Amino acid sequence: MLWETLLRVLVSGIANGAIYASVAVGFSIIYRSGKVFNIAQGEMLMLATFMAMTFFGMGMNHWVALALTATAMGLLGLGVERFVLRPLVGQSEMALFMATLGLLLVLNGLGVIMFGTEPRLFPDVLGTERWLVGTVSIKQSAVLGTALVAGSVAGLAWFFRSTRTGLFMTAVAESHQIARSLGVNVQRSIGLSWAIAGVVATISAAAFMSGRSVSPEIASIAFVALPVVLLSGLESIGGVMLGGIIVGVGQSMAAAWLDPYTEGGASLLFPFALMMLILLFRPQGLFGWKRVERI
Amino acid sequence: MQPIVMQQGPPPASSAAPIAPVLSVTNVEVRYQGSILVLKNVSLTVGEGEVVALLGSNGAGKTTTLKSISSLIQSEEGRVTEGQIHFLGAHIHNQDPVSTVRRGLVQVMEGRRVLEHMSVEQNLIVASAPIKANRQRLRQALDEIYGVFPILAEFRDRQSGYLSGGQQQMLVIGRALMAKPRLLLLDEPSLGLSPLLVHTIFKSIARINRELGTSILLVEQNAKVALGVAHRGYVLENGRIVMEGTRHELLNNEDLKEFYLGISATGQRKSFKDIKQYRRRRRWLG
Amino acid sequence: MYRACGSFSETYSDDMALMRTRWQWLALAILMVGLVCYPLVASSGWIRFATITGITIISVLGLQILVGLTGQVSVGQSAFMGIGAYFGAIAAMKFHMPFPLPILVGATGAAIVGVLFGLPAARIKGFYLALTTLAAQFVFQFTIVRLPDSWFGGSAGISVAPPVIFGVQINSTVGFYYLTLPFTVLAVFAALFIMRSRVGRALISVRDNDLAAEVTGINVIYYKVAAFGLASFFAGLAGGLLAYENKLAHFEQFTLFESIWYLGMLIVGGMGSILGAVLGAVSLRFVQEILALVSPRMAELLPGARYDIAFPMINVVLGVLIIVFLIYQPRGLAHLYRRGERYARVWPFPY
Ligand SMILES: Nc1ncnc2c1ncn2[C@@H]1O[C@H](COP(=O)(O)OP(=O)(O)O)[C@@H](O)[C@H]1O
Ligand SMILES: [Mg+2]
Repeated sequence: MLWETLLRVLVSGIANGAIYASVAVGFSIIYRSGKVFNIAQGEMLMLATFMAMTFFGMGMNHWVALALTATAMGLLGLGVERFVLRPLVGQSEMALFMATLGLLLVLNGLGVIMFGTEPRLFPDVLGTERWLVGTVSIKQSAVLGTALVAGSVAGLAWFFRSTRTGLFMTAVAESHQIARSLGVNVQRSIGLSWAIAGVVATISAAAFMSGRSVSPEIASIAFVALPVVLLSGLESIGGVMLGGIIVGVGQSMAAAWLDPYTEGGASLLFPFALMMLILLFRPQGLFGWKRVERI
Repeated sequence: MQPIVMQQGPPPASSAAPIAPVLSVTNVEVRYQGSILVLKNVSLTVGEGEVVALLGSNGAGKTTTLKSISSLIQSEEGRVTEGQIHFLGAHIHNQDPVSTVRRGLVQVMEGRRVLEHMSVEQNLIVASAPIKANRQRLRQALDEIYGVFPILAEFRDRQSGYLSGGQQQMLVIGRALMAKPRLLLLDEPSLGLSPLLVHTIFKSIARINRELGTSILLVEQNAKVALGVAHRGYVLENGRIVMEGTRHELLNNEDLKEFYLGISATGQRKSFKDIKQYRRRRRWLG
Repeated sequence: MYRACGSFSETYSDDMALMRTRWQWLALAILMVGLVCYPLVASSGWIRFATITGITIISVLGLQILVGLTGQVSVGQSAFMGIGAYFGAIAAMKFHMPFPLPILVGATGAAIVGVLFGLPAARIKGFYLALTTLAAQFVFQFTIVRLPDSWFGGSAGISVAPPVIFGVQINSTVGFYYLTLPFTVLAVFAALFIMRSRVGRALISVRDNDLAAEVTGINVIYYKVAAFGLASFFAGLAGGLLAYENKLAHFEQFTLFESIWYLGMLIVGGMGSILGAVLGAVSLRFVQEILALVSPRMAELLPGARYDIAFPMINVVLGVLIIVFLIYQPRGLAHLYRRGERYARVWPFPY
């Protein structure tokens, strides 16, 4: 009985953790390059989701539609960097952060205007099978989604460590000045990171939304992903997977064992309580680089 | 501290004035934030294959000079407000620093600025940004650097933040060579290193100049080691060039001997009062 | 501050005086009379607009003390308003306190919670700190919804009866306007007082340079956390008033969007000044009001849009304004105003 609950907790925790990780990796990629904390990451996920659904609705093949969405989201990322962040180069990190708050409002508003607030069903792009392990049923879409996220995160980690372009971007993450002195085009790296974050948002949408009912409110997933990115450390790419699993499983445990006594409050509050604890005791996270702004 | 004596003898290039300057800085004035005047009417040249030392005490404006040549000064809100800087015939002041690197002018910044969280080899690969490199050519370039600094090959997978100071200095110099520059700007490579390490580093600098033919503009407070490898030199003070000459002229100049080399005619260290005297005289000369 | 040359202040108190010339006193008097007479000329929709704007000004003033003075960004100001609203509602409805008391209870409660969420300021700053205020926003919402209904009314909220002052029940649009006005005026003067006091200067020195402030003997951590308390006190005051005005304390009135809007008001109005807070609150509430009026028409123009687009329109426009002001006018409307004033003063001989 306990084992069954534990298995169920693990399964749902890991699946949820994967989606948090995929959103968190978007935060990290953008933060690394330009020291911008893009609070509008969830809105990018929401736009990707609804853009893909619009293409599905036009009768497109699912994979073609997703590829098209990824392209459009990449361009959106480039546009945001070019027209919102680049004019603010040299301003404080806080000014950049506030600009992304403005971006959050804009993207959220546009999403609601274009797609409405009614929940809609996202097609089963990742299949509808269910497998029974003992008495616990596991959804094919969850397994594939988790694998997709894990694969993408691993791919990104490899990209930033082993390709020339990726290394240029990692250098930009360390120091704009050093990168510039070595002939790295810093602005292009930052633009590229926004484009990648747009593509990653599309991957998150494909991995997580399959077969779900979605509305623009899904953007708030990003806030649950905040403790993940803080836990893994803002610069770490690979670390988000572990961070995601910790938050996801922790949340599932809270849901299984505490929610019955708290009317569902424990699992909702868990990520934010965890975030407060991380901020207080280890703001640089587990794998983060540095010297967090501390007093 | 033990004085360092350079063993490899006078450098090969002739001590005569350069024929075709690679770099010429003409009457340059530099300001920070549009107002703080730091360099006044600075002129200097670096000839093909030359090592030129730029000497001066703390705060004289040496780093500012290098950064205004490489345009890295822009990230500190600095600008060349008067005069011109030419590199291989092209205007390079107040440009995008990346384009200057592409032209073949690389600055090694003060303070061993390695990319701490990246490995030695990753640091080197990043520096290949300005050149079009396929896998094979990248390998070749890396091996060339490892040839100059074998210790880097040994530690190629080590995170560069954990290297010793001397190794980091070799890494940043080696890294600058990745782009195969025509002119290298070195900012105080001896800073904070033991005399033995300084000796090794400067031997490498001389070798780079000799074997790769790279012209070098070398900023130093340590006049003695700098003049060990330089063909010519300038002395910068309060943002003005107050003295220039060949290696021998500078080594034999009484003022420089007294102040920068710390030896006076009577063989005693200078007192503060004498230095003040010297400064006053310099002001008239400059 | 610009004065004609030849007019100097002769004492320090002269120099710090708010009102320098007879004209300024006159302008203030005209403004006051205008505010008092406003309901005589305005429609009830615009009277309510003024009431809401007045309440907003109070909250944004608090945020100005936190963000503009100490440089600590908060994206949770509306959550602290909510806490004030709920505490006020409980004080009024459960403990049957007479009118101004629940508002004070709410403000005090919000200040206490604000200090709690501000405690991390002792260790972190920048957007890490902003994230703790974001957490406050969600913790507030989830706690209210999930706690037993008998505590905070759950998803229904808490109804608030109209206030009774000197035996008169206030229950009209005009009544709430006159109820809010003195609080807003008082809040403006309180904020002015705080900014110009020793505390205000300490807060500014904390923003400008932690270390230097510490060295000059200012207890940096104390002031950083105290700023959260002050900001939340203003927020709580505003929240309590809003609960009376709406006759309801409900968490959906205090969303993250509201918090971002308040921050937007500071950006648009101008960081660091009372004038900025007031200009920002008034102008953005005005923009919202206009959008709420025109968006039904715009929805008709949009193909297939059957829903109310006022709210998303407001988000889009405010978001764009935030970005545009950050890029092109980072010192906000207050700066433009002062420039205009200086220009007007020397007109027609600009030398
Ligand atoms: N970013 C800057 N802004 C303003 N002044 C600067 C800046 N950097 C350097 N300076 C000033 O310029 C002068 C020269 O500095 P620098 O070029 O670093 O000297 P050096 O390298 O010879 O020690 C110093 O007085 C220094 O204070
Ligand atoms: Mg220097």
